[in-house]
Amino acid sequence: MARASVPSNAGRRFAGRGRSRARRALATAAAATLLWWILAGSAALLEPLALLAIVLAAVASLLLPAGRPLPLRPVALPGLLGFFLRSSFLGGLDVARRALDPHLPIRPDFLTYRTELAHGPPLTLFMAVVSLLPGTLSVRLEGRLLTLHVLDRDADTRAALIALEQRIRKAFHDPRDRQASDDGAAP
Amino acid sequence: MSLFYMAAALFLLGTILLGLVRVLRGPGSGDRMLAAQLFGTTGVTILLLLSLALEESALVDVALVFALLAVVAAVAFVRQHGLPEPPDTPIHRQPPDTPGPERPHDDR
Amino acid sequence: MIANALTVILIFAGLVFFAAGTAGLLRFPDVYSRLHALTKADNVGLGLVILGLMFQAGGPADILKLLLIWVLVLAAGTTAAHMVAQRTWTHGEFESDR
Repeated sequence: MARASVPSNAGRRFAGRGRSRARRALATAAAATLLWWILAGSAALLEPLALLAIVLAAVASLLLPAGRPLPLRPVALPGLLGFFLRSSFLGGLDVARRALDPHLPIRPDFLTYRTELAHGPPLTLFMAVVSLLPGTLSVRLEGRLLTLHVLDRDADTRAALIALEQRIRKAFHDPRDRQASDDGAAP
Repeated sequence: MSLFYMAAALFLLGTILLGLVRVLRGPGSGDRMLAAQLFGTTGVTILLLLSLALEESALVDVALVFALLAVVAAVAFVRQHGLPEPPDTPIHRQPPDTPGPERPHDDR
Repeated sequence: MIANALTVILIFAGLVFFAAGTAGLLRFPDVYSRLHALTKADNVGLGLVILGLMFQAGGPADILKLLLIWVLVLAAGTTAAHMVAQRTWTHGEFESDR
């Protein structure tokens, strides 16, 4: 929403963007190198085609318009990853147990959950991970109201969702946190 | 060892064949789509197992391409008609939950 | 030797999850429940098989490639599950096939 009406602010932001642009080109080159190494092996890294691809990737990130920066908070990532691995494994275990049980112990239902996460990457990640948590499947998002399908209507789904939301909230810088720190507390 | 990989791949092929029953019975088109998703995940696993069983490392790259294409099938299914939502969609009967339009990528 | 044993155990565990996913696909009563079974069980199954295969990998690049495949399938799986669920919710279970 930065318009020319705030010239000093906009100028500062532009200078910052120039620096971050070079950093992004370097990061893109590093990522391209890594990807080429993974796909083709270390011997293929010295071929001219590989070097050309890496340089082209870096140049492309300089020429193409910059995307929105991903407001990640690296410190919280291992915790989120561990939480995700544990709960998605538990999710698979839970559904496998229910599917193989002769009595088929499921009581499917729909429920709605209002999330406070910002639109964009945090909410997308939330929707994706919800489908891997034990017994939940994200069906529909309207505004911030999420419709879920649950396998067991008696399970404490809401607590699991709140835990996930707090994890994701910690992993991203939320611009609203800076403005209203006391208002944005999770319910 | 390669016999074990082969047996595991054959077992997974069996689960795919069982999944075909769901394609035949349906009843909805979403159910048939599920079977396609089953092919995606299980197909990737079969290819990985076969790459070790046959000692053909290129099959891992085939599995990678399968993984990349898996989501395309689902997108094609979801967008197949491109129709707007029918007006009797259940959620439309509920009152709108937020005042004002929400922009999909507003994260400031 | 230990690596081989771990591979066998992990792949075997993965196969159990794949079997459970297919069982859920056939036994669960509605599309949404079947989506649960397929997405979660198959992703764990693939994860275990890939973990098992990592013990047979030739080098770090191979391990990362297996990891990349798992992440891609995981992302595709959850996205596809959500999209199919949303489509079923908005268009109904028995839309006409045109």
